[in-house]
Amino acid sequence: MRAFAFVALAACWTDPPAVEPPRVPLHPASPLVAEIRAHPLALTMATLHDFVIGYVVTNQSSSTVATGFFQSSLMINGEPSMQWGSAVGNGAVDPEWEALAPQHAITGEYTFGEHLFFKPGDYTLVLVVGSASSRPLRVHVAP
Amino acid sequence: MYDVEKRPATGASTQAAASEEPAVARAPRRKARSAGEGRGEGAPGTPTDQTKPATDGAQKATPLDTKQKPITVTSQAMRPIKAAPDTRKSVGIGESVIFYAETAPGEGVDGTWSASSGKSTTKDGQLTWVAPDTAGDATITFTPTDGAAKSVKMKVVAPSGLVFKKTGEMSFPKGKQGSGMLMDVTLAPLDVSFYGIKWKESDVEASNAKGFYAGIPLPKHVAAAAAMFGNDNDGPKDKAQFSGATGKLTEGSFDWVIPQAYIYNGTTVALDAITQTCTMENGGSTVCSKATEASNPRSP
Repeated sequence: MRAFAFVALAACWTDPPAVEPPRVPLHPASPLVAEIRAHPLALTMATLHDFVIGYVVTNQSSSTVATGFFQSSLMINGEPSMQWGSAVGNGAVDPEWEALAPQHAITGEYTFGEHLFFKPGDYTLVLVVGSASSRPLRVHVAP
Repeated sequence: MYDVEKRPATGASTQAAASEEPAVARAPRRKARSAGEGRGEGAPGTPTDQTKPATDGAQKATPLDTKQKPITVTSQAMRPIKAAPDTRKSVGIGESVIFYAETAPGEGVDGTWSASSGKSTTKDGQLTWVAPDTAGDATITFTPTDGAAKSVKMKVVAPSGLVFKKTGEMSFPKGKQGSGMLMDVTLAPLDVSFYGIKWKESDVEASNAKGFYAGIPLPKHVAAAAAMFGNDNDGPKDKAQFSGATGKLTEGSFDWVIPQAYIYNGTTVALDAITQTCTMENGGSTVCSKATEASNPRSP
């Protein structure tokens, strides 16, 4: 029995290893870099309409890419904003969103603070475009 | 899709544009049209310095053959459209049209041109006329050196509205509430050219909220950048969708009554508003409708 196990083990060790396909990451590195910029970062419920949020999505690859920006999400404290989804998901299609040249960026800004924050508090905002996420941005809304 | 066609200059007579006196031009000779010629020159819909108001005075043709023969005045719209021939007598605001006066194909006539409105230039005896920015009638007149004047009546048409035609569904991740569609947008009427005119929507708050949507903060419609119409008054693509409702999804609906406008020569002119409606059934099956089109019902 022991001898059989040894032979079997030896056979395993001596068999040439199978050629493995190249490893493809589950979430390949995004060709896009997403950023959000906003001001002011300290608001009150009465000044929400002053809040301006801008985005910069840069294609850092060497080929033209479809950004999928119309399906991007603005996560607010971990929950997708319905207002952001409505803003990017409706209206005239921007050709650059569909075919962004290498090293080019799409930019824009929105002023709909009253549709993002519905009560006082601290909020963390993250823009998600495909597999690219922006750095978090913190906004404080006072009563 | 989006029009990237270059607009070659028409080579209009700068002499004609610069002079207050009737310009001297050679009698008309039919010429092959450049395929890229369109609404004026330079930026879409923007006449250049080479044009001048037609009412400044008649523009004179140079002597050629002055024999008395029946004269035919022919018009040829510079921007072809599928729905009407180039010789159409209805044109869009700002459209360019070439006029020829001939006694036989290729045989020009001495004379002068004038137009009751719009802007015009002459070259090689032909008149290039740019329709005015507003709807109305215009008369283009050719007065031969010998003989009676010949006139052509033109109708200038302004955009009357937008036509949305669904071209596909938008996709959403499984488990996410939402439904939407992609549409082609055209500017009516389609039997004249509105090449170079832009389409613009405006922001609007949600209204008419019912059921589920009466109980949550609703998103407003946010205007996207203006999009330009190209050949056959098409080009812009529109996306219309509603998504992102969370929690217990129950029956409800709301509207965006979206202000619409066209922009020509820097002037924004309102068109009828278009209603976009989100309708959700119990369980989250959602339909997004806009104008006459609607997305397929989609469940999360």
